Amino acid sequence: MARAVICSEGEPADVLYFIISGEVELTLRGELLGIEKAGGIIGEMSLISAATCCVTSKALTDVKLARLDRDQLTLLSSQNPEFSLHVMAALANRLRTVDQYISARM
Amino acid sequence: MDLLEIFKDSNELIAYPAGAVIIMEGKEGSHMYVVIQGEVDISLKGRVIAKASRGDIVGEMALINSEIRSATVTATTDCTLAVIDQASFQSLLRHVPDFSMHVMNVLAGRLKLAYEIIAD
Repeated sequence: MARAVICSEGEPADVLYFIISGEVELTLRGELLGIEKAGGIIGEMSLISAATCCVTSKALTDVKLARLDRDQLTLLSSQNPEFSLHVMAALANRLRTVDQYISARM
Repeated sequence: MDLLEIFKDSNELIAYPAGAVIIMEGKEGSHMYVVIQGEVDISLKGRVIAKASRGDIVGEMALINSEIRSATVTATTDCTLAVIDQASFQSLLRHVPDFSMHVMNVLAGRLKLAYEIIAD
């Protein structure tokens, strides 16, 4: 559903979501960090045990998401290197975006 | 996971003196490293954003989806690093079951630090 909040800053992060279709806006303390589209991931803090969401993700359009809990993620990543590389690439892209955001404000 | 156990006897070990720049932001690179001994700083435009020591990895972004280094890595003590090229990285992904989750966890940890810097 458009405008629905998928994950809010400070909430427990226990599920990793893959965007199947649609667009999701990422904000931190109200500032826009970026927009994730199909193929992107949200809820990446679920990769760290007992972590909370660091950013707020909100649907900009109707979105379709696939959800993986930590056990499913551990299993898939040990069995499927291409899946792992996809998640790593999504994380690396996000990290570059966020690093650029930080660099631009220093 | 214990990468030290896998790489401590590697024949691809490089020693850097304290102060040496191991990875330079903006330059091309095609290797990642496992810190075997010593400590390094990870910095963005001169600001230290993370530290890495024994068993930690640095430079992993270059093997995932771009060869342009996103941050600078500097030796803060004399240190020894094991070099991992693309072929070794692919082999680790395929043959060491915990390795993928370990790299994802490291990336998520770096993101967490970056988010915390923005939130401050």
